[in-house]
Parts: sequence; C-alpha cells; structure tokens
Amino acid sequence: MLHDLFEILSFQSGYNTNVVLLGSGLLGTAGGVVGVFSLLRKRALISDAISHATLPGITLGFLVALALTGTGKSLPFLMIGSTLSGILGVLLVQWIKDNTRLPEDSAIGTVLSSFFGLGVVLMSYIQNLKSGSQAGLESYLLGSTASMLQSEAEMIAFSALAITILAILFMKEFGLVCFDPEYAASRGWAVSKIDLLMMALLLAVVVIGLKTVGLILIIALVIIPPVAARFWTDRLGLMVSISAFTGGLSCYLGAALSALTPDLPSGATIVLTATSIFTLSLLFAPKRGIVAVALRQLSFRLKITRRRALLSLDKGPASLTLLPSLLLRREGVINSSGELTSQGKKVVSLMAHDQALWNQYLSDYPEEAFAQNKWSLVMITDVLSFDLIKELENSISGQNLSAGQNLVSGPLKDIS
Amino acid sequence: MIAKLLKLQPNKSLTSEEAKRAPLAIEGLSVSYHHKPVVWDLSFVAPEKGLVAVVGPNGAGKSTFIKAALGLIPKLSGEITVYGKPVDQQRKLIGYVPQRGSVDWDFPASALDVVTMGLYGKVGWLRPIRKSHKQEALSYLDKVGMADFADRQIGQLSGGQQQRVFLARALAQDALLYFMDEPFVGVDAATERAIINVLKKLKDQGKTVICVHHDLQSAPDYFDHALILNVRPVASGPMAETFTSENLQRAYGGRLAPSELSGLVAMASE
Repeated sequence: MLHDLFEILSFQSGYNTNVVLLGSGLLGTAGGVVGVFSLLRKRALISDAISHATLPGITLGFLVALALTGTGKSLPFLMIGSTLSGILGVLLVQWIKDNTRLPEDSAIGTVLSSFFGLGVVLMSYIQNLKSGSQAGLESYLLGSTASMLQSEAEMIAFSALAITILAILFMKEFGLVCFDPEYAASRGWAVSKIDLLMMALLLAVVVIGLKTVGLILIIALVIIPPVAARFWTDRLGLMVSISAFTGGLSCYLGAALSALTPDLPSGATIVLTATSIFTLSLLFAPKRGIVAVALRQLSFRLKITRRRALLSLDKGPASLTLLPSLLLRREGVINSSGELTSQGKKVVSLMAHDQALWNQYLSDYPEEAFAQNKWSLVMITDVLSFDLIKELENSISGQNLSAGQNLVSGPLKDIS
Repeated sequence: MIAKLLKLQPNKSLTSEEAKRAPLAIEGLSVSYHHKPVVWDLSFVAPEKGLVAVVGPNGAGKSTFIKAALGLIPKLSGEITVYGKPVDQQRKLIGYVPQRGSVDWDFPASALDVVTMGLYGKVGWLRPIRKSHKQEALSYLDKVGMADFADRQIGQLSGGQQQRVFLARALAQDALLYFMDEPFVGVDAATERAIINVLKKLKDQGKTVICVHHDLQSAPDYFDHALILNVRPVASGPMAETFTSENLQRAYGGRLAPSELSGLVAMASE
C-alpha cells in the first residue's frame, strides 16, 4: 500500500496518472493563489455560489452535446455550459444584492440552492435517458480523477498554470483593491475592472476544478489553503506563496490517494488532505497558531507573577500564593521556609529598582512608554539606552531630594 | 447679515477665472443615499492654498461631500472641477486619507506596505515594487514619525499610528490637493501633533487640504478656512468670517449651548 503510494507520488505509474497528478497539483496552486484574493476581498463564499450554479450548465451542456454530437460527455460543451451558468449565478447574486434589501449571504444562499436544485432535476432527467453515456456526469458532483482523460488533465494543467501566472502578475493591483478599494478608486485605478478580473479567475478555477474536486467541495480549494496560509505569515506575498504550496500539495496528495483507492471520490481525499494541513497550521503555526498563542499567554502570566511577587517581597515579608512561591523557591530567591536568601535580596532590590525606572519612564515619557509594548515585562536595561536610563535615574534622585520621602527611595539606597 | 450670507453662496460659474484656478470648484452638487438627500445644492470654491475645515453636525453630509468630490459615489447633480478639469483627469494631483474604520486592519500588510500603495501610481500597472520604492515609502513614514514601525503588521499598531500610516500613504503621492476624512478622531496626542505638523508643511508648500473635522473647539486653531455644512451649505470662507455664532447656530441648531457658541466664536476671531 505504502509502496504503491510512493510509486504514484514519484510519477512512476504511467503517463496518464502522472498528467492527472500534475494537473491536480497545478489546479490546487491556482486555487490557492486566487483564493487568497477572494478571501481578502471578503468574497470567499461567492465561490460556493459559482460552483453550485454550474450544475444546470453542466447538464444543459450535456444535453446540447448529446443532440449535436451523439455523445453527451464532451468536455468543451460541459465547460462552456458550466461557465455560462456560473456567470449567470454571480450576476444574479449581484443583482439581488443591488436591487433588494437582502444581504450578500442570503443572496448567495438563495441562488446557490435554486441553481443546484434545477441542476439535480435536469440530472435525474438525463439519468433516465437511454443514451448510455450519462454514467460519468455525477463525477462532477464529488470529483473523480480516476475517470479523467489524458487530454482533460492536460487542459486542466495548462489553464491552471495560466490562471496562476495571471494572478501573480496582478498581485499588486489585487492587493490594493482588496485592502482599500475606495482609496484605489480615488487614485484612478479601475477598481471594477480589477474586481471583474479577480472574479473571472475565480470562475475559471471553479470550472477547471469541477472534474477533479467536484462542485460540492470545490469551495474548499479556494478557502482552506489561504486561511491555512494566514496562520503562518503577515505578508501578502508570503501568504500567496504558502497558500499556493498548500493548495498544490493537497491536490497532488489527494489525487494520489484517490488513484490508490479509486472508489473514493478525489474531491473528498483532496479536501481532507487540505484540512489536515489546515489543522496543523491552526495548532502549530509559530505566531498565530493555538499552541504558540497559549504558550505566549503562559509565559506572560509567569513573568508578571514573578515580578509582582518580587515587588511585594521588597515591601517586607509577604505571604505568597502557591505559584509564585514555587517559582521563586526554584529560582533560589526564597528558601523552603519562605525567607529571602542573600541572593534573593539582590534579585528583589534589582527588580524594585527596575520597576522604579519603568514607572519614571511612564511619567517622564508617557507616549513612548505607552507605545513600548515591553513595559514592565522585561528588565529596562534590555530595552532602553544607557543614556536614557541614566536620565531616568537622575530624575528619580532629583525627586527624592525635593520630596524627601519617596516610594522608590528604598531600593535605590540598597543599590548604592 | 442676510445679504452677507447670500454673498457666501454666490452663483459662481465654473468657467470663471477663479474657478479654473481653484484646486476644487463645485457647482450645485447634490447627493442622496437611499432616496434621502444628504448633500443639497452645494457650491464651493476652495482657496488656492490653505487648510479648509469641513464642519457640521452628525449626518450633515461631510464625508459624503468628500466622497462625491472625489467621484467615489454617484451624484444626483452638480459639476466638480479640480484645477479647472474634471476630477477623473486630475487624479494624480489628489491625495486622499480615508476614515480609519474603512479598512480591515487584519490585512496581511506592514505599515511600509500600506505607504508603498501611495506610490503604485508611479510604479504603474503590472510593474513590480522595487527597493527604491520601499526606500521612498520609508522616508514618508519617517515624516510622520513612524519609521520605527515600518515592519509592524498594521493591525498591531495603535489607532493613532494607523492614522499616521494613512497620512504617510497620502503624502507619498506628492499631490496638490488633499482630502482627509476625520484624521483627528480617536488619536493620541503624538499623532495629533504629527498630523498638525504635516498640515502646516503642506500649507507652507502652497497645497490645499480639505479636511472633515469633528471638533469645533480645535477647528479655528488648526485651519484657516471653513466650510460649514448641514446638508445645505451654511457658510464658507476664511475662518474668522465664517465661524460666527449665526452660522454655527444655523448649522447646529439647538445642539450647541449658547455658552459653547460664544467661546468658539471668540477663538475663531482671535
């Protein structure tokens, strides 16, 4: 089993399988790239409307092809049909949004289900025909790379490559319109044309992906890779690359798994592969992942707890709760009976002095201190320049002279 | 008084010499949202240089006025020219600082990326952004005191810092006429000072800034011209002449207490 999978993955199982794998990988890449922009333009769900809206087009394309050529399963007819009804679906969503008070999600839901319903009716009509060639049509629902012809796979590969290249060429313009369309318009950019191109590329991905992923699951191809990529980076360029890689890998692996188990629809294996990558990103991405966020939170809590415990010890013997007393005992600041050790005394006065400097910084430079997001979290000497700390120290001792008594006088004496 | 008010809305034709020279000349502008007129029959000629505050109560159509002047929303009627030509032909001369709330700050972009957008016009269609563009963008971030935050993701900035990023993006265009939509709302003192500095510099360079401003107290300090709006234009002109208690009363009605009014007018005439 594993050996077979390795053979498929390393392009050793025949030209046809290789082309299908390559086409699927490129399709995933295109979906990943185009998906980033539909996600950032807040249009992720429109791809679901497009894909479901293609079903009546597929079936009508089949019927037209059947009447004209005698066989219904002619890819050009099916693609033209799905493109046209996909466009019709998008236009209808737009029209409902512009001319009624319905919000976009309701418009999408209405159009999606109506078109899909119509498509299913036409499909069962076709199933009852005695043409003999209707068998492959349901593969457009859940995707089937097993039944894919070599010519189909080649066409998918070339179209996907073209879509990817176009989207990357227009990355600057797409990014601008996604971030701030009104500003882009104020600068004279043709926002509606750029939007139209983004929509056209999305439609193209959906249409060429129907056979591989199927219209029910194809939304995953343009949503999961970009959201997984977002976990790893804050940069648009990197997000596009990671999303392209994620999409490509999912489709490549998913198609290979499907080749191994031809009974499984390839759409399902592809989506589950993408979901695995998404789950890994969600958990383990370095900055935005759940684990990283939890660890950061924990380290923040520990730092604050330690600092507050040391500061309270500075004011005299304090009864510490369990966590801080454990922390400080491990560090050797207090002994097992809760008394300060000689090393602990140094640490406590150092911390008190540090806090006094931070407090002085906050009152002398309120804005800078506010912008400084490490305020009171690390030792001030690690963050601010020596000169600035000297100035803060002078300002503290100046206050001590004028005010006589001061809260921060204690630790300062200890230091000097 | 009535004669004076009428004189403030003269029926200037856009073909007049003054209108042709003006950074912005508007004649009979009306805009509606959902069958409700928001701006009604507004005519306005911006001074050749200087800082213009657009003030008026909530819902007076201040932001709508700016967006319509920029050609971002459809208008019911009216003519708009920028230096004597239609807005669409003069986009290169116009800078725009939108309201901070108008974009998604979780967008994957750094402060520098956003400022670089101000240079996209110069970069051109399909051309990549080069190091020199990044350098240039950084110099504009520096002008608003944000160079240290160039690499920060924009969502990690404070509200005032985000506003300064928007300002730097507009500066990067090197425009002659700037529109700003409430840049002072919800910002910290450092940002307020940075914006005022930028406004002063723009004024010294002979540029025109048209700025929606919420705070009547500070308007006379920061700006030297005013356009007072309440759906219809109430008054426009140099600050001292425009910020009169009659005009403010007409725009704000009972929303301003008499004591507030006299204080404002005293500030404006100083």
